[in-house]
Amino acid sequence: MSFIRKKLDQIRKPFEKGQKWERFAPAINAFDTFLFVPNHTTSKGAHVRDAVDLKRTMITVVLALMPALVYGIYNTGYQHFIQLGQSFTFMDAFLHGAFKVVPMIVVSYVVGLSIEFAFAVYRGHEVNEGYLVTGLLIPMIMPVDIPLWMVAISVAFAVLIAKEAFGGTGMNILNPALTARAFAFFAYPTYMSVTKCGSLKQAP
Amino acid sequence: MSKGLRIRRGARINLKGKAEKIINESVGSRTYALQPDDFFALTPKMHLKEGAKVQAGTPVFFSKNNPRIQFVSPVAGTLKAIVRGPKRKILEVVIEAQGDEAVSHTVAQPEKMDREAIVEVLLQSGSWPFLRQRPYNVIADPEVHPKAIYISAFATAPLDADFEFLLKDQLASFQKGIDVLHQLAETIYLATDQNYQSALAAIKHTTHIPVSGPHPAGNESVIIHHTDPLAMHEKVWTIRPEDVVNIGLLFETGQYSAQRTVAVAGSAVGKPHYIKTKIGAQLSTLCEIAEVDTQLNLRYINGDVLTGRRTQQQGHLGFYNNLLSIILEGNQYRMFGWMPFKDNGIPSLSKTSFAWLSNKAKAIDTNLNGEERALVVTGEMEKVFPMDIYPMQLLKACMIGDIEKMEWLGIYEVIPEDFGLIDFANTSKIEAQEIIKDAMYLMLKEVG
Repeated sequence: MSFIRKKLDQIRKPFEKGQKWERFAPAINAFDTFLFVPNHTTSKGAHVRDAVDLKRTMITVVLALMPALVYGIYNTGYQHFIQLGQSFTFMDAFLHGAFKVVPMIVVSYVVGLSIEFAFAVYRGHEVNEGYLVTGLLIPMIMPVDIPLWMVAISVAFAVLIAKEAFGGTGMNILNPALTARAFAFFAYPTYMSVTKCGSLKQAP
Repeated sequence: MSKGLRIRRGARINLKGKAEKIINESVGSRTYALQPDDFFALTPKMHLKEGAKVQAGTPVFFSKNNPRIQFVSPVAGTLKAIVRGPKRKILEVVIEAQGDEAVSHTVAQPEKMDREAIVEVLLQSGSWPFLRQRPYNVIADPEVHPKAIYISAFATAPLDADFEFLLKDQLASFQKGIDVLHQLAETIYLATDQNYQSALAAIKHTTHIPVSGPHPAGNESVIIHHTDPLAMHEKVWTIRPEDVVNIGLLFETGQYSAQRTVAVAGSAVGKPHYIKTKIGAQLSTLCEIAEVDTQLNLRYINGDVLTGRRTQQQGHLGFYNNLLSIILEGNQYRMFGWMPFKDNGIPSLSKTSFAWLSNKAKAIDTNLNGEERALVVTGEMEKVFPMDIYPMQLLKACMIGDIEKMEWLGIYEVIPEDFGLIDFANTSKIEAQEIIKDAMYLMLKEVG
């Protein structure tokens, strides 16, 4: 542990106050605080603090989403095989679903977190953890066969317009995840509704 | 009030190092200090210069806004130093103790004195600052006729002193003090622990309120709110139980009494117990007696860990506090601390650690356990705020300095101390007490 800490302190050096990469400190801080709770002590107000912080709160929400996500992944595969009339095991259904859903989650996190990091650096504040939840909610409320580029554009719209335009986590008046869904619904109605739904189109 | 007051919302934080019920009598220290920062919104003006000889009870400084309010030396000796901070703000007035001369005042039976005479004696003797006035928790205004005086002998803050124990040998003086206060206000509310057969219940001229529940049930604000809430332009006074004894002693002996029994407690204290000394005593003396390992990296707190004022080992005891908390500093890293149910030694009111499963006392350090973030609605504040006030909405109104909204949301009923648990519990690590304090300065400036 102390080895990693030392290494991190070394990496952090150019990002510290007055150094070359000072502007990008929020980005490195996000990685640092992911590994370690910082050594900050209370300076004013209460001298002792609860173990909870925004990271813990958001991770708890993500954990709470897991059962729904697992079932959603399974259901994607289940519906697929049922429509084709093939026999399948739980693993088959789950793997097929994961093949569809995991890329959406990856796209959502990559696009959303990039924007979050960019804004944190631009505004000079720390990266807020709120997107960890939003980034998982968006794939969960999108139709599973929506093209990935639409997911990416919806995410960008949601983060930029619904969240960062108002000042970031805690200041938004719209729910970013639902804004993404609403955006996709009005921007790409054919993909969001039944007409482009693959399995029904092929039905006799 | 026979039924008593039962508070449900709040939290008990069980910290290690609770003071044992032993009193170490009359401990003196080399220097004593008065710290103007102990008094909210006070601008001190010095009476004396460095090197001046003082007796116990000699006025040292006074309030610029109300020159009648005097602050007197707790001991006889020499005024050694006036420690100043930025903008020449007075931080500490240090008095080196020597001799035992004291200023005497003529006092009579409180029942035979009229209100004016009692106010005059309290002001002259320097006992007036013991009385504080709501709203804003400033030193009481002698011109004001308060609706009631509140005394809370039920200290619920972590590690806080047990007033039942602390007052048990001084009930006569306590009664005397109550008799004096009775001349200042018709109603005196005395809150005590409901789960305890209180000797204070027999005190005359008081309305006894048995209170039960977790912290902050014992805070005066909570008791005021649930017995007789403050309406617009109403004023009530509060006083700490030991200061009632001090006023009683003043009217028994004619001399200013600066007695302070302080519980030295906390995880870093070798022998946590009560020490009877005087207001402003040097902490290093108390630490020595309580066997504090001063080699460690420690946080010295005048008051409880939620609301107290930070000080150093060379610092001095505060004016109002009956508790000196000493805990470990927490300036170390914790790996993967964001994972729920890691580091179960740290209590979590939102149950993200398993600390709530055991009743064992915890040794918490001063680590912030995270970083400050934007205010997120999580409902943690409401759970630990037992008043019919929306704490988060009030905080937001205070942040933007919207005075009208602050009034609607009840700024007059709260003081920063009530937000101690909110400071502790909230996930965004915002400094609720600082926000309320700044808002109260704003209110004082704009509304008065």
